Amino acid sequence: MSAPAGGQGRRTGIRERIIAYFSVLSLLGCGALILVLVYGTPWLGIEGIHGLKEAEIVRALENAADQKKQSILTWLASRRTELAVVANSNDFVGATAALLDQQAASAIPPEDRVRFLCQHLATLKRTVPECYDNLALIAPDRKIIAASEPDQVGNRYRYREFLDAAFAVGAAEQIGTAWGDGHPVILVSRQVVIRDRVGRETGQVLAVLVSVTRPQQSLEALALLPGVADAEGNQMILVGAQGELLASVPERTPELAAQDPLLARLSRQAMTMTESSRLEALPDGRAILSAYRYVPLGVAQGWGIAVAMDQQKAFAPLFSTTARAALFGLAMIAIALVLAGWGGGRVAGPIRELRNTVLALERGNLSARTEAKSGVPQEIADLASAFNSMARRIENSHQDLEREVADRTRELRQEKENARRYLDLAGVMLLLLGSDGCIRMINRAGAQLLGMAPGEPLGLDWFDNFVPHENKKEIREVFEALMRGEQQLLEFYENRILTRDKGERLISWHNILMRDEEGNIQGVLCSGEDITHKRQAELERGELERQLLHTQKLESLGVLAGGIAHDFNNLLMAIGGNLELVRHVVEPESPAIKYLENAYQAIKRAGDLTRQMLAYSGKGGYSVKLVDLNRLVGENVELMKASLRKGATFAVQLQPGLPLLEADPGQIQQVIVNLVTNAIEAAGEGGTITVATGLSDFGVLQLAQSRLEQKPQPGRFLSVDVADNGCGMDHATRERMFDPFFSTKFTGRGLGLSAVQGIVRGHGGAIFVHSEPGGGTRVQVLFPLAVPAGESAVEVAQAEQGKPVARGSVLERAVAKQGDVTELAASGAATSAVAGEHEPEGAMVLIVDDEEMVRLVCRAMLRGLGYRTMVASDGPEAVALFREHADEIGVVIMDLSMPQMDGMTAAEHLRSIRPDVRIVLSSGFSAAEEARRLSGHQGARFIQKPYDLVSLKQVLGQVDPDPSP
Amino acid sequence: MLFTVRCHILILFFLVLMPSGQADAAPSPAGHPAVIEVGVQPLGYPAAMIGAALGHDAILKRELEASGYLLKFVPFRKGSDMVPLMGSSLSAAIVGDMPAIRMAMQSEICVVGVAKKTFTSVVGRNVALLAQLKRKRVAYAEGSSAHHTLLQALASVGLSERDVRLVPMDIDAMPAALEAGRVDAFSAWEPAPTLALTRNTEGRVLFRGASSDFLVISGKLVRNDPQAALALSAAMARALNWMRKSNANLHQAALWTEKEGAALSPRQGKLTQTQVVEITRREILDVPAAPVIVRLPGHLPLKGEFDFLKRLGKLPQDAAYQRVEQAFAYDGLQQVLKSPQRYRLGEFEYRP
Repeated sequence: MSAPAGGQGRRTGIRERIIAYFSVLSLLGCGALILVLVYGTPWLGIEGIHGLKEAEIVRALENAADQKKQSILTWLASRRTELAVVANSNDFVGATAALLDQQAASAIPPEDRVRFLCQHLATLKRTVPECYDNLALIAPDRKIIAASEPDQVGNRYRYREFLDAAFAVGAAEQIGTAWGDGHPVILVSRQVVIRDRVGRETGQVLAVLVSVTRPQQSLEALALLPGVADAEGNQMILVGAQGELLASVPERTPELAAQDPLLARLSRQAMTMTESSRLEALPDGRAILSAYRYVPLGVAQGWGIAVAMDQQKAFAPLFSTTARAALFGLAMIAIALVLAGWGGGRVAGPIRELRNTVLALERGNLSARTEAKSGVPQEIADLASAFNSMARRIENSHQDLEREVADRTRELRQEKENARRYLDLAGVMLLLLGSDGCIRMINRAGAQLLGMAPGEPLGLDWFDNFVPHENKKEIREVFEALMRGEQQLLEFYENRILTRDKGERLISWHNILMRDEEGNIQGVLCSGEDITHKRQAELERGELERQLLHTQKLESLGVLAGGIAHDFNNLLMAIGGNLELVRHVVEPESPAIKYLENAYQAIKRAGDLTRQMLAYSGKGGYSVKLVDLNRLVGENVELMKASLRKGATFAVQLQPGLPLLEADPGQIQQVIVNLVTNAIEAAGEGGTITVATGLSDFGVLQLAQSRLEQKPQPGRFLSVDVADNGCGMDHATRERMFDPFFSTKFTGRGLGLSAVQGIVRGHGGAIFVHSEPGGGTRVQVLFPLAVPAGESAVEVAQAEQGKPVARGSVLERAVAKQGDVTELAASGAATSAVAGEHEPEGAMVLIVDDEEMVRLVCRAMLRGLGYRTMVASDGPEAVALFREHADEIGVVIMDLSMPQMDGMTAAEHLRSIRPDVRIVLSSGFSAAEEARRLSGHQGARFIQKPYDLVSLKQVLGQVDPDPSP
Repeated sequence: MLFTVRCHILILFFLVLMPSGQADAAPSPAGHPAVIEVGVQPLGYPAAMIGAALGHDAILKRELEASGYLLKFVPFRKGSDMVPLMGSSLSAAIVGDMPAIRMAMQSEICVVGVAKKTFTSVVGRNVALLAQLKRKRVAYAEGSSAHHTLLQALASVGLSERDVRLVPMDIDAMPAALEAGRVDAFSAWEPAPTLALTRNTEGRVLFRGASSDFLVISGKLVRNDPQAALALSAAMARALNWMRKSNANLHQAALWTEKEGAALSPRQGKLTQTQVVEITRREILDVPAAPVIVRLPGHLPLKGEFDFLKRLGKLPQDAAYQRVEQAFAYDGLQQVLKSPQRYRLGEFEYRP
């Protein structure tokens, strides 16, 4: 049992319900009874008062009409009989026949016969004066031969149409109506026929006896209809065959009758020669009950009678009675309700007391007991006793239960505390989401991860508060599908969450659905591990691995390119040298000169290619000098203007006062040419290429954007910017633009930007690329500033004139330590020397190279320059030969890369034999590495393969200005 | 007596040998008597009384036999059954308004005079007003004047045949059906209404429509043998005069009628002779000028009934009222009444 809930509204008691039920039943019963009594139920065979009343009214109307009809027929029958008696009397017939037979001799004068006949008629009128206005005997010539008013004798009868019917053959009697003196009249006729001596009719009509009567006076006298015709609102009328109003009760004049809708309706229906009863609605809204009767007056004519009663007035007594009955019923119901209320109170009192006790028990008063008073019904007393017993047991059970509950509560609290500790101990977020997506439970780690205090997230909507907006809809749909059981549980799921400080964490989830005892899904228990750092580390490691792989790939490519370039340089050395030798032995006018020149140009281009490859691999030539960057840029841009497309323009912005750049001018030139060439091709016709130089400081963050794997140290850098407004590059192209052999141009070799990258990398610089599709491209190249900004271009001029600078390049500085660089002889001497194959008389040059072709070419070229030569194919042979001819050999040209003993080792041995030996090192690799290896050695020069006669002469001149041994 | 029996056998012999379809009813050249068949309705009062009187009129019989005719009366339950036979097998008939109009439409007929001026009634049980007939079961005789009266009654309160449940039934079975509750109302002529009201106090006359019966004669018979037609006309006037003469004659005619009705419908309820006499007086004998149909100015006989049938589709749309007028133009009864002695209207010779 529970107390009445406030939200359920106040419930009614037994007494009130008894009263309510009784009221409803009484009202329904009373209403139904009244309805049945008034209107009846045809399917039960009960005819209602209304129907009975209606039938009674109709019957009364019909009776009134029937009585009137019968009275009219009786009245007419009386008139017909009276006329028949007169017309058939022998005296009357005889007198009439005698009067009309003018030729017949008679002792009685005609006047006496007329008087006789008139007395007959007057006597008849006097007998029933209310039934006759006058009587007349009319001859076939339509003249009155006798009348109740003698003064009419001799006149023509006024109702001629009626006479036509009255004289018709066989029409012994006739009844009709006519209009006379402002009122209708009833005409009744009887033929006066001749009979033979035995009384048989001869068929001859002597005259017609006609009576005239005003109907109104006669009808009123005959049959008024008490209670019907004279009641207010009721109407009775008699209508002639043509619809004329003959009489009415209450009396109405014919003129007014046409304007009265009731009379008009009754007249119209009454002349239809039918009899019926009906309920009719008048145009003025009244409803009438009416009865119609037809009074046949002959074979083809008759009168109509109509009796009508206003329905509302007719039923007024019934409605009044019904209303009084309803009021009486309501009064009886009210009395019955009072009695029902009193009886209900008597019945409900003990129950109410018992209820109060039960409510007290329900509210916690376990000591509540009820008391059966005297006079209480036995059932209630038994119920009270049983209740008291039950209450005692409940009280005892309740006490036991409270103790047990207290124990269990303590245990549960302990277990709950333990569980909370277990959860808090967990290193991962433990989260329980209800089916509505709100947090039902979260452990300490979870709250900390969210940046909130323990317990603070409880009740918050997980998706609204902790899921990024862009993922909210998707994750909520997944969650709701889980709650509906439409989707399998996602045990492993990762998504980002938002913390209070608007940070994002990546969480890896393990989920378990929580169900109630019936198996319904109540929520989901989630275990979330913060894998943000782990995933970040994985990403970074992957990126490093990728960069490492890329670097390794590039290094491998560099090694490969360097090796290929080295071997190619040896081959090109042999080819080019031999070509040059051939060109010197062929007549200048020979047609072969042209072909030799073509082949030589091809060798030059092949040499360019190997230089690019070496530049990319970092093994390109490295003739480090102090370079005026503005001048170098300006000269090269000026040269490249010839390559501009139609309408394209150059914009050169050189920052004045730039410090000198310590670099290989050839490679710097290579960088400028490659970048500008790409810019010209990207800008196309009408484009704009901007080349600028500058000096700026760059920090770590800026340098981190460099496209080189090795980022330079922050500091001041000289820069060269090359920009165009061409088509730009997409991301994929930008990523691969420095890859060797990658080109977007049909004829490109894909080595230009690779060489730029290798050159800048070799100079310890950086490269920035800014390009978007359609937005042009800007490439900025940085070179570290090694020379203080104060050093001017004068030093540069000195450097470019071949004079060593105080702080030259690594190689220059190494070579400069010998201090005795000699100039080679002029190339003209070489030309003459080459022309002859004899051993010259000049200094002895030891040629050391493992490549026989190189040895042969070099020897030929040296002989052509006037040197004597000795050759050795490797290091040991060179050392042995030098030990034997140490005084004789002036210069040693030694290849650096040789089997058994490389050039450096061999050079060391040679110096151990004769320390002042002059050595020219040659190699197909770049000079940078060799320069480092030569660092600290005197009398060493370097010549890059492939070299020509001029280069050889020049380098020999530098190491031994006096070629004589 | 023996002679009489022999005569009857002889007449029967002639009836058997006589070919059917003798509507023209002209004496045959071979000397065989022609048959004049007169259709009568023994179940309808007071026309049945006239028919019975005609059937026992020895003067008529002799006059026709003298002209070479054999008179035969054929009983029918209702007038509509006679319509298709008029002009073929029937030479004369006593029928109501509707059959008379339909006969006039399909063949040439002559209306002699009125045989009844009465009401055809719609009688209901536990029904007070005509409008309460809606959805009630109403018995009727298809195509009869009572059917017309029912349609007229329904139309007067805005109802039609579809608004009631029509139950086809013989006239004589209707009072019992109403009493047994098988129908809620019926439409019939006398004596069915009187029988129903007598038996059942809950019965009420809901509607009465004036109707008439007429003695009609085939137009061919009138043309071919006017004297035979006049003999039939005189017999009708004589019959009425005979019945008007005394109550004894009326009771005699009622007895004959009852017998003929019982032969046609054994189950028919019986009216007392007093009731029969009252009906006969009220509906024909006391009707002024009956059986003469007085032509009143502006009065077109059966015009309203004709239009009503046409409006309801019971007559073809091209039906002409002139045929009805022509039927009522016959003056045979006037000729007879002008010479009552010649046509022996005051002499009565009725034999059992």
